[in-house]
Amino acid sequence: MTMTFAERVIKLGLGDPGNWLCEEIDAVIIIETIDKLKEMLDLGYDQPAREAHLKALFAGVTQGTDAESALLRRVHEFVFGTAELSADDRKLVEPAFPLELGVIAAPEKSINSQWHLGKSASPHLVEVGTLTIQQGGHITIENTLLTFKVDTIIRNGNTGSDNADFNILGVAGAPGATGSTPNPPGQAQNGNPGNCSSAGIAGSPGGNGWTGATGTIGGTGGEGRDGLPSMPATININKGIQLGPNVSQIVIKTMSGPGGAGGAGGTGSKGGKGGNGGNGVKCGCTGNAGGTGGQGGTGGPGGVGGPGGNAVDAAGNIVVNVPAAFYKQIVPVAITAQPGQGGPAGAGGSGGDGGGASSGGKHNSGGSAGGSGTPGGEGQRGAAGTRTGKPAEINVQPT
Amino acid sequence: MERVRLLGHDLPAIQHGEECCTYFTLPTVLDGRRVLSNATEASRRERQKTFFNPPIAARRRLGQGMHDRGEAATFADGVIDEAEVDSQNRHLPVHVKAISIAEKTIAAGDVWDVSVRGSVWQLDDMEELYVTVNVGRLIIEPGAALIVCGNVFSLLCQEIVTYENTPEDAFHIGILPTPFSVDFGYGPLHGTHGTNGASGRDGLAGRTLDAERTLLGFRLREAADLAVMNGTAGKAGKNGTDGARGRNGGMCKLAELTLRSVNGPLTVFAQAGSGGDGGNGGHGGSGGRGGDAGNGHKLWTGIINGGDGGDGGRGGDGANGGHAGNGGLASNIYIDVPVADEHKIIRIALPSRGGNGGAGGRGGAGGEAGLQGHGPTTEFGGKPGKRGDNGANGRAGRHGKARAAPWIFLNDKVGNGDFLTPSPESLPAVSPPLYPND
Repeated sequence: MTMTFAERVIKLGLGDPGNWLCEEIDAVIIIETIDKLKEMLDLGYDQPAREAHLKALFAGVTQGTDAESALLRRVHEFVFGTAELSADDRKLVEPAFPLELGVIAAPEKSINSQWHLGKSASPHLVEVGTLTIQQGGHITIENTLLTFKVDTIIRNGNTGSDNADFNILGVAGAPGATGSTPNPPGQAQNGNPGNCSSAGIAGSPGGNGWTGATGTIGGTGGEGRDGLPSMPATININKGIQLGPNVSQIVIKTMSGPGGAGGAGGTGSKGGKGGNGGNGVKCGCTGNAGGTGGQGGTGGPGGVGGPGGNAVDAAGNIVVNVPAAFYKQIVPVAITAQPGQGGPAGAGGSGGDGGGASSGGKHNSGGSAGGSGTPGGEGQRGAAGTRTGKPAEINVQPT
Repeated sequence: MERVRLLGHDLPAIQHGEECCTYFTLPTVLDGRRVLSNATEASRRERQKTFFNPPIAARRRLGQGMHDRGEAATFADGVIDEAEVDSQNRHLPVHVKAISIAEKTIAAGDVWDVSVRGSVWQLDDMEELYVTVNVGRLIIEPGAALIVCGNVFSLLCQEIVTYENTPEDAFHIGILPTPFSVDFGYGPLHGTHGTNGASGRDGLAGRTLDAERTLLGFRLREAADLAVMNGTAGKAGKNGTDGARGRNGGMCKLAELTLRSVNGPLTVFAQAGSGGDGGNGGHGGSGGRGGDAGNGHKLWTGIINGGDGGDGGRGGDGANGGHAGNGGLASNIYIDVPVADEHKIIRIALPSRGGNGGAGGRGGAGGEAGLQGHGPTTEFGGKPGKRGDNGANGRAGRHGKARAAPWIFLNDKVGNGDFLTPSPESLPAVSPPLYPND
């Protein structure tokens, strides 16, 4: 027997909605024990239904073989299924508590833009009486476990974007950091100043500045991180769906986390500044010329782009329970997550500045400034990630 | 004309106004005494009494001392010691550039440089070379000068004509130094500056461990290698390189100016070359910045503290400045004129200046400390790194020593006329005994 909205929220401890002073409750409930968590996420199924639900949520989902993954599997079997949790396992999960559970409850809810339920957040439980999705409205949750219970969905218009009506997603891996740009080399040696071989007699003119040093290669871009998975989700539509004009379906889309893009290679350092030309000097009634500034150094080559991260498989499936009469109005769309692109090549560093001009001695001209160095070459693009992410199965089940 | 014959020059050509310039060698010191010097026997004896005056005597143990004794035998009344004959012979024959001209006018503002360099004989410039000039009438117009740079010089002039309206800082005859350093070093006069040290590389940033959500909270998605959360230390800056040593100044060599008649004021100037400045030491490179740390996590199994920031790298040491070169050495100068013309002679002899020592390079700044990683709450944050120490400053190079001014003898005496020297205050490195008129 399906419970009413009021019965469901009373069971959660939110009180009679008739007495609420607000239209919607958006709260965080502190869960003290694993048993309380199981109670809060209970869908009111009997034992066979719980077993079937558990199977649907995790069928085909790759789970780790390490001890922690095995423990998590047993926790799932306890919370969503019918298995018992041993005393040892209970002890192992104790550090996780108190645990937060996000709860949103509203007898009537209308949205006309994205309703974002969370990203890498605590498990979320949504209780809605009638959900009206107006033009532009859609629901998104990322890398967060979801239990979404609604009596009736009214769909008017469309999302106005590439989003589906429900978007159960992972999170793209963090992009790699851009490679560093090293400091440019120090200025090259200045030309020696001119000298007088004796009073009134000019000696060597100012020397030319030395050519600047070649810049340093830019740092390699950081690795793109692996994506974060989409999490198990259960959507229960208790009464039915009302589609507005020109609306024929409710689309539920899922994609696990794609790999993060590799970071761009760092820009090569600027080439070293050329040495300043040595100044000419005055030698009594005469003098000598100044030297020319040294050519700026070639810029450093750009760094290699960072490797892209891998996509990850979904951490759980999506179960949609809907009255049989509306079964065909639910359209599942599962998209494979793609690995991250390799980071773009770093740009070559700019050529170093030419060395400064010099002044001339008496009756002599100063040297001109040196020319700028040539820019460094571009680096190489990073390698793309290698692994795609399997999407969750969307199991639409008529009730 | 006797001198023309002695030098083997073409007398008729000279009488027709041509300038004759030849290069030859003399096999012995006695030949040099006969051909190069115009001193009388009495004059030679007088010169010998003061030839080894304090500045000359002070260097008797140097290689230059042997040249001094050879010159004493050529231009004064010295005798080569038997024990030194072989050493003296290594510098023979004497290489001579000789010029004869009946009348020479140095136009206003022009310089008549009679110097010779060793390339004429495929000799090293360090070899002692001689120049002798035999001129009937020498006219030095305003602002003009006759100079010789670093050669032993002998001038015989029947009449010299000068003018008063010359620039204040000008002279008529300049006994100037070699246009190169006279020492055992190499490279330019001024020491090259050291290069600056490169900055140290920044430390690598620590990494926040990869974690994922589960029903119970976050868990690590990788091994709990806490070390990777810490920033690494910045690298030390590189040290600067030392400035190069300045070279000694060029040397001013012996001169004998025999002027039979002086018509106008005549300023004779002599100063050896200044020592080269030492190159500045290069600055130390900055230390690299310590890497920032990765953040901690609140996992469902416990808490991981934020990582520790990396220490900044030490700044590189500044390098030492190069020592400056000393002023060049100088030899005696003899001016022989009729007694009636002595008052027309202005002698200016300056000590040679030592170069300035190169400045020490600055020590590089220590690298900034890396930031600590954040924990789930403040008390679980990591520790920030320590700022790197600054590099040490380099030492300044020593200033070069001034060297004594040459003694300019007028009719074989130093005290019988104007003999300008700088004040000791302006050149404190030169001791008062070097100024015979003081």
